[in-house]
Amino acid sequence: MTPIAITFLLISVLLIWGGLVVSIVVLRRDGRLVEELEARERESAADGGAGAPRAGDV
Amino acid sequence: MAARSATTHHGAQREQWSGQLGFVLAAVGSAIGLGNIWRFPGVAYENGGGAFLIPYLVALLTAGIPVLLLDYSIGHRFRGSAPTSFRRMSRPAETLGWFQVGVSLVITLYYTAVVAWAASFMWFAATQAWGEDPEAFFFGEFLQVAESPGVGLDVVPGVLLPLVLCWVVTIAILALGVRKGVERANVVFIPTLVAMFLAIVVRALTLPGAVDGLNAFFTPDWAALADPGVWIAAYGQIFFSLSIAFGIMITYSSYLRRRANLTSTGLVVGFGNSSFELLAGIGVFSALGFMAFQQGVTVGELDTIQGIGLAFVAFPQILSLMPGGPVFGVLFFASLTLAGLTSLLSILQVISAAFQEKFGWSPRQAALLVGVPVAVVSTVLFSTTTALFVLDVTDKYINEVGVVGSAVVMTLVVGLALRRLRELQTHLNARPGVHVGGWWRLLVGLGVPLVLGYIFVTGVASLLGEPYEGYPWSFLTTIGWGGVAFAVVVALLMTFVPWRRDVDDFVAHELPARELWGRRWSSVPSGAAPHHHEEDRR
Repeated sequence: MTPIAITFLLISVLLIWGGLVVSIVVLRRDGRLVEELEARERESAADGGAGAPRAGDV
Repeated sequence: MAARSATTHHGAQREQWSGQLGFVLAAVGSAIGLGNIWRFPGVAYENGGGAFLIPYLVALLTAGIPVLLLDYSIGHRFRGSAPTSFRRMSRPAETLGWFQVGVSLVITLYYTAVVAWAASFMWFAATQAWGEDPEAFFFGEFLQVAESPGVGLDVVPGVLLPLVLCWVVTIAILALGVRKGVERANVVFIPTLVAMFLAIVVRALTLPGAVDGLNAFFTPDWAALADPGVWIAAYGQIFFSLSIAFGIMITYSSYLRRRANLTSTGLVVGFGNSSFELLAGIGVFSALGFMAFQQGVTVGELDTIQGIGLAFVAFPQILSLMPGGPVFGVLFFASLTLAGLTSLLSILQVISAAFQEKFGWSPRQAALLVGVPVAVVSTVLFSTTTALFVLDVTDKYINEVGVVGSAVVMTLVVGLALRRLRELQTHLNARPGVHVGGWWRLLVGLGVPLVLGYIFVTGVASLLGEPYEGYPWSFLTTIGWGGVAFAVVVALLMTFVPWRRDVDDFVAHELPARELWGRRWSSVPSGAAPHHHEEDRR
């Protein structure tokens, strides 16, 4: 392959596949936050506090 | 959080994805379709090669992902299919939701036919049934294309059977519902698709001439960046590829749990779709390089580098020439079939969900009462000798007028007429994820309507200016504009059909206090849990 084609192949891979990898890492981090938040709400609901379930809650 | 697994919906349990992974795979499955494999590589090559990367990434970040997030926020906030969500936003906007359903209806009619062709070619590839002349085989022996455009009723049995089978499989999956049907299918299909396509790309890279193909694909043509047409092509590619603005992502996100992350998910889906496109580009151009090498020409001299011709004519030619062709042929057409099937399921879910909510139907009822009539029309229109003409024209008009028009109207209605962008931005930021700033409102409310508006106007002007592909005007009007008119009629008629249950008996989520949604989520704020911000009363 020519040097310029290799360069653009690498840049494409870095930006697009790299973007995917970074996005997945961020999603996993945020997923843990969601789980933590939901766990707190469950605890709150179990205590009969303000987090107790209402009709339609998910 | 309530321990229940689904919200109440019209007296029944509203379905939900089992988790974030199920949703991500389904959304990626919807985005990755036939266009990723047969459209992107050719568009990139014709619009600057490696230099196309620049407008492509700009389009992804300034239009693709922002509109994806708009869809997510609408569906998730208003908890319904496109008509339900728009109705809850503003009663007259329900028509826009039904227009998106109408567009989806038209697309499903012909999209299933292409999936059925790909499934048929899986079998043909095993024996390389196309022989010495794949072009004559595809257009003559397989499709038995009529001599002139029109709408005929001469059925081609070899197309009819796979088309019927394809519809049976699709309706069966749809009838199982979101979690047991659509999600399970995607959880199996998407990893399988990626694995199979990776195998194809690795094989293509080892073929003689592959390097020439990659050189052609990645060598930048800097002059192209000064051509506005190249930028429009980039926005068009991103827009058509991501399955945005015609109800799919609104419907899919409505099945997400209340706290589910939206923005980070959007990034994964956006970059996931582009990652597959890049993979397809590498594989397709390696294979085209091999074909050019075999024929003693350059890649630029090849006749077909995208579209139906690439998949069903050029690839069979390549497969006939390469060692191990039958095995990789089956893998290639199986990949096409899975990519098409997962997108088809998502388009059908738009229709199914809308009718379920309007009439209080179950997924099974919707699959049968809507899916079967649509399947019959699709089979009648696309198992005949004129199928290719009808498909070509319908696809052109419904995408360039229906889908783009829907996107322009949606951004204008939500952003300018109803002024809901700030509320939707707040909704996106009210849960853990990448923070969305004011730039998002600017892009969705101004930038996207301008760019897509330009694409829409130039597209319509082109369709009105000269006959597309030289087809007769009567045929273009009946089939092309007829398809668009059908979507408009669906929109108007369905808006006036009364809802079985009171769709307006819904209170949108009470948004959290500004000090909460204004922060960037790096940890769960203390005291966040006891606040119950949302109520979904139906």
